[in-house]
Amino acid sequence: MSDLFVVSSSPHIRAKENVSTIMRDVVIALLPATAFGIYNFGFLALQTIILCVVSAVGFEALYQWFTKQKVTIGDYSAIITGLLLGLNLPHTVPFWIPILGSAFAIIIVKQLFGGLGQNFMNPALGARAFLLISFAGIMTNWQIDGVTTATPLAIFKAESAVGFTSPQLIDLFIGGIGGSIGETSAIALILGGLYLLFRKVIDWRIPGTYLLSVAVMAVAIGGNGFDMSTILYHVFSGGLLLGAFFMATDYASSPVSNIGKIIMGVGCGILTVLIRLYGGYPEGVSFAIIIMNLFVPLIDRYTIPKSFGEVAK
Amino acid sequence: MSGVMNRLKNGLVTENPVFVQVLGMCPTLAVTTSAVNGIGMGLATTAVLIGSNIVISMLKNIIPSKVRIPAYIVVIATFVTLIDMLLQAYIPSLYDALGLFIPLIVVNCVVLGRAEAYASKNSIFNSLFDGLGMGLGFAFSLGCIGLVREVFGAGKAFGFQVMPNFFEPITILVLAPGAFIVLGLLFALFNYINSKKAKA
Amino acid sequence: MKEIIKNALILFAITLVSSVLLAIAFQVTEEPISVQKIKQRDAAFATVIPDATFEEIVDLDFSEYEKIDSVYVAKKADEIIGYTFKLITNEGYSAGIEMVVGVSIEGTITGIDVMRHAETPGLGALADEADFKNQFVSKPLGELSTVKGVSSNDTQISAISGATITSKAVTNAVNEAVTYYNNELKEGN
Repeated sequence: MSDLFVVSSSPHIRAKENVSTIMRDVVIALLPATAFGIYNFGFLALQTIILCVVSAVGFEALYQWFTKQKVTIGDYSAIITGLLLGLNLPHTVPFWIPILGSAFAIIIVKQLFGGLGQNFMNPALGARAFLLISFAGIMTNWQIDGVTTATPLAIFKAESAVGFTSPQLIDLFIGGIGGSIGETSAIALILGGLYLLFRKVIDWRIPGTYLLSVAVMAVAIGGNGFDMSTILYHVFSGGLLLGAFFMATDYASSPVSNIGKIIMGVGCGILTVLIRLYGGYPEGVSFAIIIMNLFVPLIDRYTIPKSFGEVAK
Repeated sequence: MSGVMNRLKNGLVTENPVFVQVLGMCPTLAVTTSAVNGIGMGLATTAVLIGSNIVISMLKNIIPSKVRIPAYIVVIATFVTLIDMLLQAYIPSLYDALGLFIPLIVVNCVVLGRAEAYASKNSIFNSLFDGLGMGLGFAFSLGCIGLVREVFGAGKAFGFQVMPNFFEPITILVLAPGAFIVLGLLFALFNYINSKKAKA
Repeated sequence: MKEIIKNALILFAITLVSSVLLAIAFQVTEEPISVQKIKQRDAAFATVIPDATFEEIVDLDFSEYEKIDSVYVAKKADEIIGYTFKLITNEGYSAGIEMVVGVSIEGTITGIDVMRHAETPGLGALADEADFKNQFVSKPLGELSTVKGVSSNDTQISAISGATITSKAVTNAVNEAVTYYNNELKEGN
């Protein structure tokens, strides 16, 4: 008999997917961006990513062992947190940044709030924000081929980055630019995102409305009107694609209902562009997603679908 | 004498205003960017607490219950203003660090809470030590939070460099979010210690 | 009715006693407070122009210079050696930055000091560190600008990395003081 037939109470229809198959799909989807990051930034990038993953898994095991829980590092979720954190760091960071970041992500953001599925914000993003605010200098040391560069967004922002020229759109698309390890290559991230959509691991609503609202905001307040290159710069640069496909869609910290997902996506989009243009930091994706993460319980509460047959009060 | 020790222990541990009663969160979060600021705020609050507890205990039979809250607030506000002027005149460095927050002691729930819950029902002598105990408990808690934030957020303790040169300060800890993170972690630590004690 | 009057009278008595106490305390502390304020001010002034006495120039018109709070003349042995400006700028990242700028009559900036600020620790707060402040010392009295990275000539101030806004706010305030000096105070005007 196949696994599909199980004698039990409802639900009766089951799929083979479970936490680890879903998580494995996410890892597969992140591979192109990871590979490109390593190709683009070299050995240091590989080292940073490995440090992140190993220490994330290590802290998860350590915490669960210490609190006498079942050790669940086999479910890939700590690996993904570590990998996402690694992709969100510049490759120039000293060795202790990945370790400290993983500790914050796993212990403080994830385990202290109840572990897998209970975290109120995306652990990797929480850690990135923690590191960015604490070590602004280290966390924005973008280099490409050993030369310090400003990211396209920093150049966009101001006269303060005089002497740096904006990269060509095509470089932005393929990824040969300065930035965090995993966020430079738009094409690699889109490939991964499409894979997740195709495997139905993520729903199109959050990334779709997120990207669309960023584009709309870029037209509305980007300063150049309906200018294709402004829109593309906003959509392809920074951590937007990485955030939209892989982090805003985190199951535990995104809304359940379809309308809720759309609210989440639009909220992230609006906040991202506002922070990019008016905020103190050049990139707004991580803060935007974290802020919307905090609204998820509220969004869920007001978007509960009407239950069938209920008598109106 | 055992009554005195009892009041002090009550304020410092059993009913610690910050870690047990979770009162006075505004100064707790706002001024604890360094150990000195935390302790300074704690001691300023202690002075107000002792003064207001004594006076309110003295007046407990005179103040009619219907107007007791405004009466308490007037007494507390008087002491706060006194402290404010005295600090400004004689300890300007501390005033510089705390200036903005001193008027807020008026609305610190610890002070009004002790007036209502303790001083208005107990003798002057006990009220004095209740104020001292609560105040020291508050100062101790704020000092702890301030010390943790200062050591890890700035690499210093009481203004002196304590961390080695290669230590990179975790700046977020001396910013507003760090106050919440450190407070939460210390809550957890105190609860852990207390639960251990309860079992033993 | 009687109770209301009684309650009101008791409350009134309490407030009366408090006001008397506060009035007395105010009388006692008024002088030390003003002494402290002057001491503090002079301590800040001494970091920009050492060994001088300061005297406020009253009745100046700052309507076109919104950041200037007050101007003091610095004298050594009864001879004017420069001016100190007390400035408050709201262009920083947080609430107003209070600072002092010293200008010597020989045509250079003698130094700046930040008296009060609420800038981000580790970033904007570095504006109160010697590394940043010393850049202004001996700069000529012209328009200064901030640059990222190393400054290449003496009209440039190297901004604190990660705190461009604060660096600009401080530099702009210094510029305003210098402009005021050049337009209003300089000999021969």
